[in-house]
Amino acid sequence: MIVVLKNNSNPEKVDNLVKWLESRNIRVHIFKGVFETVFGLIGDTSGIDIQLLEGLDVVKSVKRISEPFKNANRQFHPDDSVLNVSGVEVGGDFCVIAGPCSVESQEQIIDIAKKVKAAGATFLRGGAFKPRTSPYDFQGLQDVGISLLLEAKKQTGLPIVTEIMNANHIPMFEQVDIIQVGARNMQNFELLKELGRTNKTILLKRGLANTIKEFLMSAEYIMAGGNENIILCERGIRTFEQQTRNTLDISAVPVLKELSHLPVVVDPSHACGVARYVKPMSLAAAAAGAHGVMIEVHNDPTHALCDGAQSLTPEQFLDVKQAVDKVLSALRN
Amino acid sequence: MNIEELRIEIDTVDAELVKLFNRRMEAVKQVAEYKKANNLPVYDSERERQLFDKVATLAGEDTESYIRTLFSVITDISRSYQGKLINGRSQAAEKIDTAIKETPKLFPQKATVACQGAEGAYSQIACEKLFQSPSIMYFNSFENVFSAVDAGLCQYGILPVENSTAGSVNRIYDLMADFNFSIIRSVKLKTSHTLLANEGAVLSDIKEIISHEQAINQCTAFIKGLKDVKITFCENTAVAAKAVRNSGRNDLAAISSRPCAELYGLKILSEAVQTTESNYTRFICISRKTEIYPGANRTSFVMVLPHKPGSLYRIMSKFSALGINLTKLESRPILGRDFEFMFYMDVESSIYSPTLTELINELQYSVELFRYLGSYSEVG
Repeated sequence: MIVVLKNNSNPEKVDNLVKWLESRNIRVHIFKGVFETVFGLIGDTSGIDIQLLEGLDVVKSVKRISEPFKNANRQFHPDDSVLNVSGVEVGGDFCVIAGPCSVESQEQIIDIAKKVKAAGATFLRGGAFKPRTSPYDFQGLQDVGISLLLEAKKQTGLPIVTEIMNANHIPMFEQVDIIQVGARNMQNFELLKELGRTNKTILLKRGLANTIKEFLMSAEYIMAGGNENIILCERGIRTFEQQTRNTLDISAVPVLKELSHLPVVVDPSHACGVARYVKPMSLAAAAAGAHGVMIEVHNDPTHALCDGAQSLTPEQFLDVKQAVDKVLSALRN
Repeated sequence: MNIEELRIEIDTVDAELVKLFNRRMEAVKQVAEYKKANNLPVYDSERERQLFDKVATLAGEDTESYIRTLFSVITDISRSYQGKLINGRSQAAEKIDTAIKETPKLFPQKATVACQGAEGAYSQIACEKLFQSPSIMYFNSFENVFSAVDAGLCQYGILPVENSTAGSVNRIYDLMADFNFSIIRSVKLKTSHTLLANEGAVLSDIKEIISHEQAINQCTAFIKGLKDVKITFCENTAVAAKAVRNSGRNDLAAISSRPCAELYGLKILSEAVQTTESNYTRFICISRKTEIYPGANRTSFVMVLPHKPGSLYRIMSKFSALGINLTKLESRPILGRDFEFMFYMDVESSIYSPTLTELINELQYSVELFRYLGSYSEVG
């Protein structure tokens, strides 16, 4: 349920209202915007008399929210959420997350980190724990991978993004700036609940066969625990089409932005699985209004231990970045 | 026989009557024991009808109607006596005992209070007379004031119940019947209305007056004196003042309390526009819980009486017999019934007086529905 308050309402009265709602086991999410203050009520609101709330002089309007996602709902938070991740904004300015699929060695990750930074990336990505389809494939450097990423962060100043696969590993991610939850773990609710208890920024990827509503419900799982620092990532969904690995659902960008206030980024690399499609899809994402892109960059794609086919060289990445900037500047004008 | 002899004759008969009455009551008591043992109701309409017919026949034509009246009182007394024997103390009496025991000795100074209207409403003035530092929440309707107290959003609610010029606020009486609340205090407020308008307005330009229906009714003489003025009702006098300010119009005026002038930046076109100088409004303070504070000397209840001749008379006779002063009697139609009414009564009597408890005991067993609405004192 959403309660919109009138401007300049007496704080004491507003406080009375909040206390009463809380006494009825309802969590009140308060959004203070420039023009209005909105209460998002979470919990069993069936016993709340809408007419009574509407009859209160400090209240402008009341409505029930039919969607099952509350915290993630734009109606709870009419403005875009802008997250501050280690000094870098996500949700405001366009962000570019770049790096290899997997961390392979210290030289590799530091070399790429320097190159993507020079090309204008704002975050460094790199897999330490790898969710691979085959158990015989490279599984990642794990904790060593994280230390290497931290070393690259130290040398370049780029905040890092890396994927978690098991709630027991959360302590290892202590110094990681953004914890990624991969597509295959999007509905690992126990993991989501644990991440909800942290205050880490979570990059949540859409499951390969999940609807937008399911995607937002997963964000809701994390937010229900109190962690509101979430970035939604569209990474392609499974369709009958086989020319690309997945079908990038560009329409998810405006839909997610309409339904939710959370930042939305797009991963064209995993969506297409083919390096040459990454540029046009990155441009499409920027044009569709995404808050950022996540692109795989490898200094030697042909010898990459994982997903070489979709990785760009640092030079190609620079080209994409410059083209994206042109789109963004065209949109601004 | 001369008058002295006649009086002696009457005294002798009365002595016999008392003796017979006591004998009758002894039998009534045994019937009560029988009814209790066999789980039978106190009231047996068939038996009462037969009884009336029998005594009427015995009486003969001349005194038949007097006898019917006399026996309706006697059966009534019997019934309440049996009720007391079978049921013991009434629930209402128990409720009063508990409330007296559990209510703190001092009236609260701070509370969250629901009022109807907006800042500057007469309810606010009443509320501030009752509580030293209330936190007032304003609602758009009387219903919502009740709902707010019911839902626990506010501890108390302040409502106007009657005005010395315009009479009862019927809606409140109807709502009191719907909610099971208790009156814990009342306030009598001298209400002096002012005619308010925007800065540029002059009295002769006013074409429309807005206010609450009650306030309009209290100022009819003044309004009549103005020519061609349209009257618009709104939910509250303070809301009316707010509406005038928001309209920006110079031909619209509100009848509101004096403080509204300053609150809403309006100018006073005319003061004391009510028809009579002594214009009083009574407000009640309601609570979900029965609370009785020391000094309570007024008690209110609502009851539904059997829809037949003499019902109200018999109830009134109890007040008279116990010497309790009835200060208000208001009837309100019962929704969905064909001209049947509920009666609201206010009586003056200390809550600690045993006669009041006795009255309440009696009432509970002689009416169709009885609800105790609280005992309180009035702040002047």
